Amino acid sequence: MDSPNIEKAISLLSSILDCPADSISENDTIETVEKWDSLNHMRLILKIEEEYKAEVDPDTALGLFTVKDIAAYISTL
Amino acid sequence: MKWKYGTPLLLGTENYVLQSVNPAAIPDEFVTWFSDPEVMRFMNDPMGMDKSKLASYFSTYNNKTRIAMTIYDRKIKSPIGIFKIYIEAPHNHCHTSVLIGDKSYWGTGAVLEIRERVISFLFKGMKLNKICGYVRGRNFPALFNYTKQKFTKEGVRKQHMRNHEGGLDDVVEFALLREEWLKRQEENSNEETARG
Repeated sequence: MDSPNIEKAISLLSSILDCPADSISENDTIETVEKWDSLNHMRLILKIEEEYKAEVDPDTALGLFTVKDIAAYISTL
Repeated sequence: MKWKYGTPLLLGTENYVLQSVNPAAIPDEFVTWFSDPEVMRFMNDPMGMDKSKLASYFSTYNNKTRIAMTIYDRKIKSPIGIFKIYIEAPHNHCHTSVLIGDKSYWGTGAVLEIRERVISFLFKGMKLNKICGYVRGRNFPALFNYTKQKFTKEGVRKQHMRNHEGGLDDVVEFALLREEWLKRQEENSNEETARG
């Protein structure tokens, strides 16, 4: 996994969750980050769609529940 | 719990109370929710019903195979949403749907807390074998919640349901089997025991 994509995923999450980037690690998931709730998850996906001019389909959305998932998806855009 | 099939159902969680909708006493909030495009965006119900139409609509819920419950905040005793259960008795399964009309409860974990109680009732009380959930593809909060609650994605039906704007939405089918849920309960119990 490219480090820039991990950094970008963490940056996206920290801006949505309104928390410092260094409080999120590449191993974090929806189970480990308390503020990563259903509403923030929607905001995260809409942010990705806006930044990358992409439309996230349901199958993709169901694979975006970890920092690494997000980084991997970003790397395909 | 004591509940007689066909009579109003009452379920409780730490923060919420669920009570069968009484068609003769539709809360004013229902009219507001059913007219709000943001609230209704991913729901299948018709929009814009007045109290009389809502009363007629909810009178079709018989507390047997179709159960609709108002969700109340336990502390402030105000309605915040509606939980619906549709039981297919011959197949021993059901599907459920939840509407959180009060937007201040979005993202609070209310759905997770409420659905966990309903799951327990359906598997332990009703002895059902399977609970299904049908989620529109752009309903990212619901996709999140079903995943967090360990439902399995069984498939995606493409362009399956008409939305309120006239387009067709993909629908993701989720399911949870009784045996999966019981196994998870046992694992959670073992973890708690190990933690002392």
